Amino acid sequence: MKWVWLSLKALGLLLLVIAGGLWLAGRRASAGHLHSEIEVKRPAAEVWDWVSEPEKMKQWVSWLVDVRTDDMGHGGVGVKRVLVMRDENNGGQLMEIQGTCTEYTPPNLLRMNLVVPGAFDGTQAYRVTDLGNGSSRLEIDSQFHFGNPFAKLMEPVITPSAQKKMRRDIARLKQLAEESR
Amino acid sequence: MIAWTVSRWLLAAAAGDEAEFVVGDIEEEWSEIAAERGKWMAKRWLLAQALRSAAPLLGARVRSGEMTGVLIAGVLGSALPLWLCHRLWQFVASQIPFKDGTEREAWQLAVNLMVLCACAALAGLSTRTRSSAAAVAVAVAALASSTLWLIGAQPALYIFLALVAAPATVLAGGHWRRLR
Repeated sequence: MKWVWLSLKALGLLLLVIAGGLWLAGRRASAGHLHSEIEVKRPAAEVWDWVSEPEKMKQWVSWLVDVRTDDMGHGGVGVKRVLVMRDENNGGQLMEIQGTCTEYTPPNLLRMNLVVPGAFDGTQAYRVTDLGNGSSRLEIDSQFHFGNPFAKLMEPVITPSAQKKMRRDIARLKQLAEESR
Repeated sequence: MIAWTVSRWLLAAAAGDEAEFVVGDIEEEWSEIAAERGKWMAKRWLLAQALRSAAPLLGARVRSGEMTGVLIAGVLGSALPLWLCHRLWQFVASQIPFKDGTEREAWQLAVNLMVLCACAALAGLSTRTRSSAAAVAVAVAALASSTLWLIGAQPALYIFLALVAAPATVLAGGHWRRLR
């Protein structure tokens, strides 16, 4: 049993070192920050539709199953939006993200405050810049804070995964927008 | 070759304390039969002995409570670490604000394999004899395959590496302990 206890102590120490490393990494300036941008060969007004219209959003944001909004089709500051996500890693449960528009300048800027009580809160901004020649650049900039203590500790793992997911989604938007000529 | 295979089989089937005696007795008798009645008859006798004694030997191990220890080592050495890693990556994907699918990245699977090997080595270190290490290795492989099946779709290479590395690490852990 001596070897087992020694090995268990070594394993415990390793877990402590990993937890310490995660805690330190979670204190970096860019913790919880996501940024992604892509050039789309479509005019800014068309790209704007893909980020502001619920039906179009459902096509490129993976695991987004529904978008409920109280703006009756018109955007604007203060408009509330509920994004319903399917969580395949949680038995396919549906999770609602409560969004409130804080900046609305079509066709260039849409900023939302996003909250899931007990899970996270943050902001997400969509910036569309006209590049001329029928092309535009879409930038998505987000900042999230996690509420769950274990999620806070795991932030250095969660944020890069979220970043990769965002890149896949934005590439899908480019493909869909450019195919819809 | 047959004699060697049968003696390994009996070593694995018999409980740690009596395995060496059982194999010693059988090898002695095998030599006598080979000298008196020829090698062919000795091989037949050996195979019959192996088939006849495997069930009682395994039964004795179950009654002695050794199998409970083997099962616990198997659970702690493979099923539990694989399941905990799976739950950890599920948690990470679930915490992504806009969610993600169930596919895992290569580095996450590599972490799973490292954790699995560390726990399997611990299970190997808990064994005192070659036969108990072999039994734990079989339990670890069986429980790892059941857990991977329960978890669902995974890359074939990852499954292959898990099913080879886990029992190999148990045997290595047991061997290292015996050397010390």
